Amino acid sequence: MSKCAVKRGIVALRDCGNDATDTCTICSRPICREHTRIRGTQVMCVECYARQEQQDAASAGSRAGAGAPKGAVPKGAVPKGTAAKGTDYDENAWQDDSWPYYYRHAWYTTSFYHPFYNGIYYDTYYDDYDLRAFADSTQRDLDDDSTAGGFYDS
Amino acid sequence: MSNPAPARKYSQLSDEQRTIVTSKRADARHTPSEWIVMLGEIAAFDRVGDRDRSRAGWGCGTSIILSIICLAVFWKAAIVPIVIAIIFGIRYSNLKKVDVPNSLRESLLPLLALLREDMDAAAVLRLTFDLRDGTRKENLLAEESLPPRRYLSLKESRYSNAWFSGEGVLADGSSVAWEITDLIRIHEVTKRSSSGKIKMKKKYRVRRVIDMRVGLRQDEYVWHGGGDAIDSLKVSTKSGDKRTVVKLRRVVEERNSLHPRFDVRYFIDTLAGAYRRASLAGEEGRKP
Repeated sequence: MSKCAVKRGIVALRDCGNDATDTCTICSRPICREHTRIRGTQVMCVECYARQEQQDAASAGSRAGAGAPKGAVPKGAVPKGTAAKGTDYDENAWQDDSWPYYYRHAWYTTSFYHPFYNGIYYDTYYDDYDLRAFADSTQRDLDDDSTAGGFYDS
Repeated sequence: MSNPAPARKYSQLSDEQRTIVTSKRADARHTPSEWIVMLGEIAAFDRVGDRDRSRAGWGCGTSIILSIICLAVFWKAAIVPIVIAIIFGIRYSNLKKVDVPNSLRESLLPLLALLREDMDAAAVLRLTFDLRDGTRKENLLAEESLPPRRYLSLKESRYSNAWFSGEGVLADGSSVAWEITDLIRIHEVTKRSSSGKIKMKKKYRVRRVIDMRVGLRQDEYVWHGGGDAIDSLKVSTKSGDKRTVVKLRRVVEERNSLHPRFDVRYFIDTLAGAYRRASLAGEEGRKP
């Protein structure tokens, strides 16, 4: 069974690790139940969902900003915590499981941060982020015995 | 809490949650998901409490105005609005006692939602926070009256409020610990105008200092420094056998509010400051 292609993490990305249960209709990547979102009738991964919502928010924002009449932009068309407001967020944003994905996409694109990737399933979906990836991550994972430790454990 | 909705929500909280609500402080270890569930339920209770407190405040105010009008017309008619004002006032006061500062849902919960992504599900996160007003007596550093000028006197008070700290291990094995301290300066200006009127004014200035230590594993990351032009952080390092400990400091000026809160971007930018200045051990290029 194939694994979910969505990467977890903000400063350093890693593989989701769950078994895939579906396929994203936008990027055609395998996705697990946790990272599946439904938008209209489309099944998509949480990252494509976040990007689509952000695009909609940006276009709704630009329509509103271009002097659209009051009420032209439907209430709720601009999702909370999305790219229309960049990395701004409201106090309810954390309740949405997709929000960290909105946030990290907006943050990567505005802060010029290139996240590390320390998994084994690299995919070109993240080329826009210019990932910094391990050269031999498969071997590194096999050699790695412990991740726990304090600050001054040397 | 005579109002049933907040009372019902309060009764559903655990002992630990009730302690946080009443003391506005916490010092515990949980996984990020456990923190989110626990603090999320407190935030839900607080939202209901805020809404009802606002209603009680309006009800009390309206009843007082009504009773004043009634007193002017026919004093006996004022009894009912006075009683209603007292009931609303008691309700407001009770809800105020269990009010949790909004920084819980504006800063802590969004930060936890992001940290959860960077930590393993079973990893424990220690959090210590104190959301009470920072200008408490125990936080007072210095208080002095500056030399008075004609018609003008100035009193300066300085406070240090270390209100939020935590530590945990990220999914890549890096350890992270932080402390956020508000350095508060209050100027109380008293002016006497030529007509003899005395005017008082308070000016606040808050410098929010984010101190962070990130222990990067040397078998995964190589420290190369640089990057100061991007994020203007104060950075220092100490190398051990297994980890490079990076100390980062960011200072944020806050002018609008005395309440302890912050935009999570400051936190994430500070954490990323350590990673920006490192590269992967054995990194050949950006992609495999």
